Amino acid sequence: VVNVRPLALAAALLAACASSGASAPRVAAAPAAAATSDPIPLETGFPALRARFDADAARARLLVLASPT
Amino acid sequence: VSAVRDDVLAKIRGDGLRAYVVWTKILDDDDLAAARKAAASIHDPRVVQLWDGDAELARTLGESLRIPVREPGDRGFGLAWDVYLLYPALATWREPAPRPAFWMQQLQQLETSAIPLLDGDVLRGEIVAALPR
Repeated sequence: VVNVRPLALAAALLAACASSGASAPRVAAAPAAAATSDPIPLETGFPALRARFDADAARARLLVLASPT
Repeated sequence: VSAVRDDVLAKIRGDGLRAYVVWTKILDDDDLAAARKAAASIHDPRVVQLWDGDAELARTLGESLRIPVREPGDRGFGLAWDVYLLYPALATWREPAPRPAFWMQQLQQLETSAIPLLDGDVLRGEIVAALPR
């Protein structure tokens, strides 16, 4: 078993996706960015949000949609 | 989003809140790089950030929230963006998208008498009331 850092793994997956011309994930989830220069790691798929939403059901949840610019 | 960061996240302690910030493609310059840059302004372990590159979530929530179209004559519903949606504990995802218990917005085409304009202090108060005991 190789111990791969999640941030590095996600960055590698993104790079592979970009170089192969594959379409980008439609909705990608990322934990809060750490105070580093690492790119934000991505998870693939709108279902990821649904799964997170239900997994966090013990908490109050705030969903924000915004333009990044 | 700065209101959420400064008026909500910075002032509500504890792990009773989870926030999902979805950077969605609305404007011409919105892309993944812009989303990464915007995401870097939020540092909170309770926040999950997402990139909605084809505005799928904005479209789905726009229909669920029945957001009016921006241009007269357009059909259907507008995109959900600049919206702040609160769900209490125990709420689960309902297809196509769950309706919030409370929400605020900054959209031109929505009447503030129906859905209040974003106010960080008011939003924080609603969230505190919704936190699990």
